[in-house]
This record gives sequence, structure tokens and C-alpha cells, in this order.
Amino acid sequence: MASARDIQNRIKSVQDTMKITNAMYLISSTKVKKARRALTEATPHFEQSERLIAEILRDLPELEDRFFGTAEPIPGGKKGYLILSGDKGLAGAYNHNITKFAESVLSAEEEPVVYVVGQMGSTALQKAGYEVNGSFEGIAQHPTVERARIIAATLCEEFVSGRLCEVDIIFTYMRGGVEAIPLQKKLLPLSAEAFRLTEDELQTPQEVVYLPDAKAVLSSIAPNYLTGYVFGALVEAFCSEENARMLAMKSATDSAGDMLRELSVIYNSVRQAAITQQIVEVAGGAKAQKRKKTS
Amino acid sequence: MDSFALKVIGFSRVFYEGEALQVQVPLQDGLVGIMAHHENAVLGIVPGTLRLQQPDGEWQTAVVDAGFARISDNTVSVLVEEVLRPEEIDEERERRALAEAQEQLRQRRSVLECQHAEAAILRSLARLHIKGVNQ
Repeated sequence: MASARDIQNRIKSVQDTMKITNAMYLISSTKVKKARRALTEATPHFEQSERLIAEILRDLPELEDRFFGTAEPIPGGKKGYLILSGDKGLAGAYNHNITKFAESVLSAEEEPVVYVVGQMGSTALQKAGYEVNGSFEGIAQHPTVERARIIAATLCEEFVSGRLCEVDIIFTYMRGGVEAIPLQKKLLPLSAEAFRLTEDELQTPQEVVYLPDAKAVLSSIAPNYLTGYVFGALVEAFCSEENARMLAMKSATDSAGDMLRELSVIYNSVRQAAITQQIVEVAGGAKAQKRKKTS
Repeated sequence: MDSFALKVIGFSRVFYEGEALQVQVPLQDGLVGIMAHHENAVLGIVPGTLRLQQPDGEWQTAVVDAGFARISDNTVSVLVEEVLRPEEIDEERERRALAEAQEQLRQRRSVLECQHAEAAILRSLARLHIKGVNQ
């Protein structure tokens, strides 16, 4: 059995770790609040623009535009993937889940072009033997419109030049605010099927005019929508990450508490054993002395 | 004067949602004013100044980034990247951003970077412009 001093050291170290995990729990719980607020603020634009694009696609079936997948694709294009992971660990299974999911998608592809947000994801995928063509770091923690714009512009450029024929995004989505699930969504080309419109709505196309002209409108819509989608996904992923971190830190703090309780029981019994031992020794010594005197 | 339902939405906020008498949005070839019962249309918006008239006749001004708008059945939805009130613009910051973008454009690295820089210049100019108007 370990000595009382050993156990005391152990208790001390568990206490210190618990302080850290508890602090991290508090930090991520405020971050989750921040992320949730950002998410609710970003939702109206996200939903509205999805709807508008769906309506435009419905009203213009004869539209010929690469972004809408209705023009001939340039041959030789590869499939691109944008994967959103975290920059830091200690977030439970968050990074693991998303990279495993990404790997399962990528392994089905011959020559995927991989773009990764977040350091954890890019290291994990590189280790798994994928070439990471573009890595965006320091974004996962602070999703901003400016950064979403840079990512979207990079993807658009690759798509327009024909190097990519399709772009998918892989990120973690919070279902009902509790359950985080990895999700794969098609970003480019924008397709009518991807947008939710009811049968009735699909049946009633409207006459529309384009100002200043159709080309100008369409060329601005796709990048704008893409930036919006990337921004929404970044916020969604950030929210999932902080939520995962919060839960992980909460359970770490809880199990540190359990451990401390167990250790203190062991410590007390060890201490008690030592005291008993000493008393036995003293009593034994005294008895021996007594016997010596009487004899 | 008839009114129509107007929504002005940025990535991270809903700027305006409600009835309006008129809205002016910046397009590639200049400002376009939209009033009630406009024909259905889709508009490509460029960075610039958006003005809207509330039902009580008051005007509101905002600076918008690139985006698009849709008019359908007397409902106008304006979706842009960022939408700011004039007082929310930091003039110093915009000046710095403008100078930076112009410098980048001068260095002329790749097509993508040039496009980035040009877009940034337009954005900053639109924001600085509204500051100038207000002073």
C-alpha cells in the first residue's frame, strides 16, 4: 500500500487538475453562450438566402451558369472538400468524430482536394496520409465574416477556374442544441434539390426581371451565398466545439471530484493504520519494559 | 403612399424588418429606388449606401456590402454580407483598411488577391463615403 505521503501528493495533483478543468469548464460555458447568440443572429440570413436561391432556381430553369451546375462542367475537375475542425484539443470526441467522418468520406474519393479549418483536423488528416491543399488556422475560435469571405473566395476561384468540379463542406452540426452530428453538404455547384421547397412552391414559378442584368446578379449571388454558408457553418462548428469542450470539462471535473473522495477514504485508512501501528509499537515497548522491571 | 414589407438582413444581424414606403439600394449602375407594387425582380447589390423610408416618413441610412435583393409580391428582401449604421463605422480603421488594400493591389500578386483587394477597396470607400456625407 502506498504511504500516506504518496497519497497526499496524489490528492494535491488531482486537486490542481480539477482547478484547471473547472476553469476551462467555466470559460467554455461562457463561450457556448456567445456562440449560441452568434448562431441565432446568423440564422435569419442563412435561411433567407437559401430560400431566395431556391426561388431563383425555380424561376429560371433554363439558366446557364456554372455555379448552378447547369452549364457544361470543365472536364478534369476534382472534388474539393472543406473540413471544419477545431484548433485546440480537450474538447472530448469533437475533433476525433469530425476527422473520422471526413476520412470515411475522403477514402471513397480518388484524388480529393482537401481544405481544412483548424489545426487538429489538418494534423490528423495529414497523419492519415491525405495531402492538405489549404489550411486555415486561427479561424475556428473566432468565426468572422471577413475570414468566411476569404475561404469562400478561395473555393470560388478554384471552382471557376475548373480545378474543382464540386465542393462539399464537412462540419459538425448541433441538432436541437444538444446532439452534435458530423454533416456533409454540397456547396458548389448550387443545386435546386439541395434547397427545401415544398411541392406547391415548386409548381408556381414567377416572372422576374434582373437588375442591372442576369449575369451581374448571378455572379454576385453565388459567392455571397457561399460566404454566408461558410460563415454559418463556422459558427455552427464553433458552437459544437465549445459545447463538446464544456461537456468534456464538466465530466473531467466531476470524475476528479469522485477520485478525490475515494483517495481521501484511502488516505484516512492509511493514516489510521499508521497510527494503530505506532500505538501497538508503543504499547508493546511499554509492556516489555514492565516485564523487565518485575522480573 | 402604399407601403411594402421590407427585410434588410446582414450575416450577423437583422437590420430592418417591417413596413417601408421606399428603399434605395446601390447597384452596379447606380442607386435604384423601390416603392410598393414593384414588379418581381432580383437585384445584385454592390457595396454602397442603402436608404429606407419608414411608414412615418423618417429616413434611415445604412452602409451595405455586396449582396442581393429579391422583390416578390410586394415583399422586398435585401440580403447583404454586412450592414452597418453610419455611426458604427470606425473612420480610422477604414482608412487603414483602404490603404492596405490599395497597397495589396499595387503589388499585384494573383488574380484572386487583386479581386480581394478591389472588393475591399470598394467596401472601405462605401463606408468612408457615408462618413463624409454626414460631416
